[in-house]
Amino acid sequence: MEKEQLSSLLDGELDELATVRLLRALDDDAEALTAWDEYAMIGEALREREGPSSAGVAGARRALAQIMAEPAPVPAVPRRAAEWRRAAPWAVAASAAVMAFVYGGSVAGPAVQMAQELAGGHATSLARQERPGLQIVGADPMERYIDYHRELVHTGFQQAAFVPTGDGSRQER
Amino acid sequence: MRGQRIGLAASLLLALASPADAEPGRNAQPLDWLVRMAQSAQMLNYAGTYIFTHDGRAETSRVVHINDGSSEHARIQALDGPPREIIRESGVLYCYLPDSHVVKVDRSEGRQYFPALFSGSPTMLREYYNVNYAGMDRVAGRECQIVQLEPRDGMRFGYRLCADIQTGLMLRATLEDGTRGVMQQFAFTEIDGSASRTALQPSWNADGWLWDRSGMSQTADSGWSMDAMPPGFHKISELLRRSADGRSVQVKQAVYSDGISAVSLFIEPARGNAGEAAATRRGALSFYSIRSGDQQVTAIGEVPPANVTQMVKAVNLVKSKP
Repeated sequence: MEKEQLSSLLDGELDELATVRLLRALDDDAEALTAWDEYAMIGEALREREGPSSAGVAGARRALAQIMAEPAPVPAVPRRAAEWRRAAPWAVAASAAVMAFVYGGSVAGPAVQMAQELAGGHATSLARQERPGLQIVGADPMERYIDYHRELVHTGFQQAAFVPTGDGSRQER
Repeated sequence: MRGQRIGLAASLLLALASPADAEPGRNAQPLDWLVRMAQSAQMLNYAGTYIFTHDGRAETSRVVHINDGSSEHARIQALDGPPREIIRESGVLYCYLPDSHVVKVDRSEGRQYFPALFSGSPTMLREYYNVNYAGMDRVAGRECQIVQLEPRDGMRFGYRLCADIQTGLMLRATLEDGTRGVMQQFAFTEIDGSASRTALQPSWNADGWLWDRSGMSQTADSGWSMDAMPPGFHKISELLRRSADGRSVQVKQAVYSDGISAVSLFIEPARGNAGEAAATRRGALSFYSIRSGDQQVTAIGEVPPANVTQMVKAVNLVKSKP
């Protein structure tokens, strides 16, 4: 299993079907499981949550089970990112929810924000309305810190480095 | 083909401005190439495509850079994922996000984009790296000189930089760990000196978009002092950011660099109970976070875990008297 797939899951880039396949495949891939746990551990180290950790594959599966127990308003068909906003906001919300549950953080990270952007801003409201057992809580602050770091000093062009925050004023340049 | 190469070299050389046009002589030292790389990135006019590979990912960007003699102008387009691009113009960055009809406006000072890699004087690097030649290579169809930076201590990783023989421009930058091998790499896939002012124009008419200028007033005095930082690291920028969850509390960020490696330090009000501190790695990035009083102190950087650990422990939240 490619780590890129895990990363995509954490970034909310996988649709529901791909999320299910990935989580099932984790059973047979010790290396991927290790990588997954490493990501979760990093999140825990920064988050310093109270109580035992809910991160990990088991937590993801519980989140997934709740999602899958309810009918999907939109069929989860793989689409290009640009099409998500028009066609499948729920699919984005679903994978964002899994990611958020796995991370268990309390902040809206850039990956989730970007997913919500792509979903036309409906991801959070849909998830809250239709899946009361889950809460969209966003990605880990680590991701935001990484974006901040790379935005300032890194030479890369990070996708999430300039996620709009919604504040500011509408004006002409 | 040969004529085409000569033409390309000529256009790049014509775009050169002194002193970057002075090719190091036969007795040039590796450090001379570092100086030339730093100067060329600022002085040259160029347009090219580069790939940034990290953590099993690859991101492709298009860059156009022009120095008109008084200031630098650049345009960077992301070629993967959602469309977005950055325009650098007279010390200001405009980041265009067409999907959300937003333009984020921010200051450009202190920000480094490939092929500019140095935050300070390359000569300072000698103190903390062994700088040596490591042979020749060919990148984006152009001959380049490899300069290797081998860390002198355990507080930084190594680099292999490949500089265009004719122009000095850095064509490839590789971040390496002695045990893990290549961790990150920037590399041009094509580059030429045909940059024009028209290529600096954004792809979209942003009239009526949201122009977010909240980043323009983010300069800040951190309010903390550093006791014993890793050798060679000094503060190169400092600013305030919105907290990660959007609350009014702001996150303070300071960036420390030895000239090529960089660490970001974040301080914000702590939440919840204090957890167990631990240094962690993810690819080239190391993390360390602890709670100090009512503040959470976190360091992140492309350095070994020992660096971020020492960086966090060096923080003295009681501001020293001037």
